Amino acid sequence: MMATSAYWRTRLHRYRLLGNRCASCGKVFFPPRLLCSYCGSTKLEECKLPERGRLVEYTVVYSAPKGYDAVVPYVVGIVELENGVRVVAQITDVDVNEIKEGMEVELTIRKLPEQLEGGIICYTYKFRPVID
Amino acid sequence: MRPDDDVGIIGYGVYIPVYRIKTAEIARVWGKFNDDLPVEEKAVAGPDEDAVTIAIEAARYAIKRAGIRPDEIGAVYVGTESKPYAVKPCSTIVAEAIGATPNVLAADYEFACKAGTEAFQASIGLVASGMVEYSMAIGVDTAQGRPADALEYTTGSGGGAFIFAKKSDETLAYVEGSYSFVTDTPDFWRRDGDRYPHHMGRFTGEPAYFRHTVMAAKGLMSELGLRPSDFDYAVFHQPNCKFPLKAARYIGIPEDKVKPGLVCSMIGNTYSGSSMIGLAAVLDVAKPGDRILLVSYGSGAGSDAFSFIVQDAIEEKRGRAPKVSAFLSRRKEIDYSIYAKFRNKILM
Amino acid sequence: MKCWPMRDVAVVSIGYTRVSEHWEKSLKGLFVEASLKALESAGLSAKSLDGIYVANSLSGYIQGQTNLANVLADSLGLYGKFAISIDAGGASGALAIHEAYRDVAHGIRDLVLVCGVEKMSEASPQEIMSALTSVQDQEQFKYTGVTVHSLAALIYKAYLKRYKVRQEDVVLMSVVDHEHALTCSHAQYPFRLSVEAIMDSAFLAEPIRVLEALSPGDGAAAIVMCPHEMAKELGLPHVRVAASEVARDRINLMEREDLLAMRALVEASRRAYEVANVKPSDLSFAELYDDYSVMGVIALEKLGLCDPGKGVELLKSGEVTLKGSMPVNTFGGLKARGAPLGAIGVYQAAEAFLQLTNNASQNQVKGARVGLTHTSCGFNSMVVINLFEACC
Repeated sequence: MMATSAYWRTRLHRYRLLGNRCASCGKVFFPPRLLCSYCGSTKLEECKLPERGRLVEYTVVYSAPKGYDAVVPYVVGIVELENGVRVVAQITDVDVNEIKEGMEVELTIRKLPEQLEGGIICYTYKFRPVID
Repeated sequence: MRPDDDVGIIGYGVYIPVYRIKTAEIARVWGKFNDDLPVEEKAVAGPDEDAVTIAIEAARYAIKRAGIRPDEIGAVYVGTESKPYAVKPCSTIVAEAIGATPNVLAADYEFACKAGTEAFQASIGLVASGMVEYSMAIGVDTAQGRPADALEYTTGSGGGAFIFAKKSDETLAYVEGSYSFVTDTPDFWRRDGDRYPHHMGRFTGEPAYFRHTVMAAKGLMSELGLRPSDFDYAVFHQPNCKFPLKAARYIGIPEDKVKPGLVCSMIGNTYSGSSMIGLAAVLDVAKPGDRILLVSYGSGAGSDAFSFIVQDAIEEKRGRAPKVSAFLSRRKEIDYSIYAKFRNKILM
Repeated sequence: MKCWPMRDVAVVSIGYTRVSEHWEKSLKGLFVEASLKALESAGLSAKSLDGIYVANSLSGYIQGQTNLANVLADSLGLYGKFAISIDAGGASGALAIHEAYRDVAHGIRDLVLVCGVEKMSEASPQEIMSALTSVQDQEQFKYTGVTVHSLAALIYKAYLKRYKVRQEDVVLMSVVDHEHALTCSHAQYPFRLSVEAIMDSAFLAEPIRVLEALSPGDGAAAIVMCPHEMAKELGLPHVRVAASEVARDRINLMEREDLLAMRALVEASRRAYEVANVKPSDLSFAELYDDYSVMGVIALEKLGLCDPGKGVELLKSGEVTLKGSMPVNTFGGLKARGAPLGAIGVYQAAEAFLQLTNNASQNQVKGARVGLTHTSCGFNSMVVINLFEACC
């Protein structure tokens, strides 16, 4: 299983919230695409997404996928970033009874319970309430 | 030690996890008396946090204060004793996450609780020599305390990141000089493969912590021709609330100059993050012209002492990222069962 | 592009296993059982087939068995024939039927067996969770902890908010499913379920309750397809494929402008109605892909069986039961008949066959003339609509 290289291939978009933007029509994609699904152009430029946004919807996950038994319940939500792009991600550092739609959240890189072959730790993007 | 060219801090940032456990709660579980607990509560890394994730958070805030592009950073050094990998640097993950790769130096430092200031020394040398323009030094830990042991009451999680550059109007404090005092003193250690460290109880006091911190501070003052009264603030490594105050007394520095940087009562001993967070707390309030003494301590053993002079740029830069006080007030209390679950103390 | 047939296509026989945890039956065992039933009830031998389509989604993930059609074809002794695997998540079964339909309609093949088979009982609940999520784009979701249940929950919440309906009314979808399963001999869960029981059950991803989401099971369903003329010659009860349409939507939910639009479902059903020359109100019944109760409710609306936001009203009216004017999920749907993922579309086709040949016994919709089956993969990111008509 080539799990390590698949993880490694996607690390930049997960560590830095890197998407891409179609140079022809301006649409922004996250995760990045190989071809613009709106105008068909292959001219896509790396585009760093804003790191802050608003929580527009959320759910609390109780049914765990493989490896997640020890961390349920956890929150998954839709974050609308400052440029309007929407991202689905876990929301962390927040109690399930404190989450509110419209909460200001910001990007944080966190560790996942899943490890790869040989124990490689997986890090990925999540969002947490903004600290001022 | 003084570099040929002056070097300063151009940005700094900290991160403290949101969870807290009261030491009274730990005492409850282990049947200890509540009086004379070394700290009030400590910060606990959540299940999705480790030294790498905390380092990344602190680094991002440091970059915000610095106002530089991440790809301009020439070196990323992470000092920690809670490396998730025994072999594979935290610093490469941090460097990749903040966007400093691939044209960057990266390495991890280890010297118990003074690994962060080791990274300071290396950064100062690297920047002063002109080899890199910006070097980031991070001290971070999520160290573990053996259940029921005295250290379980203090081992906390947190970290700080500092970016060094040649002294300019952009730097918010510059290094007047530094001094390191190191001996082979086995007061606290962890063998490869061991889950929890060992320590020598009261031996960690006079012959270890106090000897090295005091000698480093005195050595620094002697080299720079300074007296204790020349300092406006003194930040020490904080294994508990008493040691820093006692060290200050030995050196001749009054308590009120130490208290602004004393955070361990609220977050515990964050090991390599301890003096980092203390320094950041002082930078959050210091005025241009203030002189800050920083004395770290790492078991094994050694101390790095620094004298910083605060510059004008601090006034504008400190507001660009959350202050230490914001992290201190961001807290969620947990009980021992959740603490044990979060910190993998329950064998599954 | 619509699929206009050059010749009419019929489904001439069916065979299926009960949906259950078949500890003693392997993928092969389930496949052979369903396929032989279908062949025998048409008096056909396996050798008479031109070949087979096998619909399956998770055998690679769960059983470690890839190359499925090829392996299963061997157990029927099909040498010199074709065998094609179709994988499209929950839409696999219907898509396989679509492929066979197109082959027969355009004169490429004459006698084709389509069998959907899936075996989910030998995966743990956590592995099932990961397996179901594997139909999503892994480059997007693999290292995030986001599951299909959490995505469904986000759709559910959007629906409840927009139309201001209660979850207690949305879950009626599952109540109706279970009502119909009571008399279904191949259902996995042939018992009544109340709204209270559903609302009391554990959360999967809030607000979704365990008892309103698809039940993973083992099962195989097979149908034999041939030109309509051949069906008449065989002299067997048969049904005509009136239309078979496939449409895609954006698989990344965040790229959809409106989370509730389900454009592929609207498009595929619109084309199917046009090809079959029927209106939604002409349908005698509809088999909906209700992997979550809210998805069933949304399907009622997008298929044109009621207005947007009125799905719950339709459920409450009772018209969706077997005696009503618009029966849905006539044998229990995904919740109660069960949902062996890749096989669902073929189970729906077999059930449509029973209805349209007047063989649905206690589940019979009176005077059933035309029925629709809807399958989806990835929240209608791939939709297959198959329309069947009684004939002769």
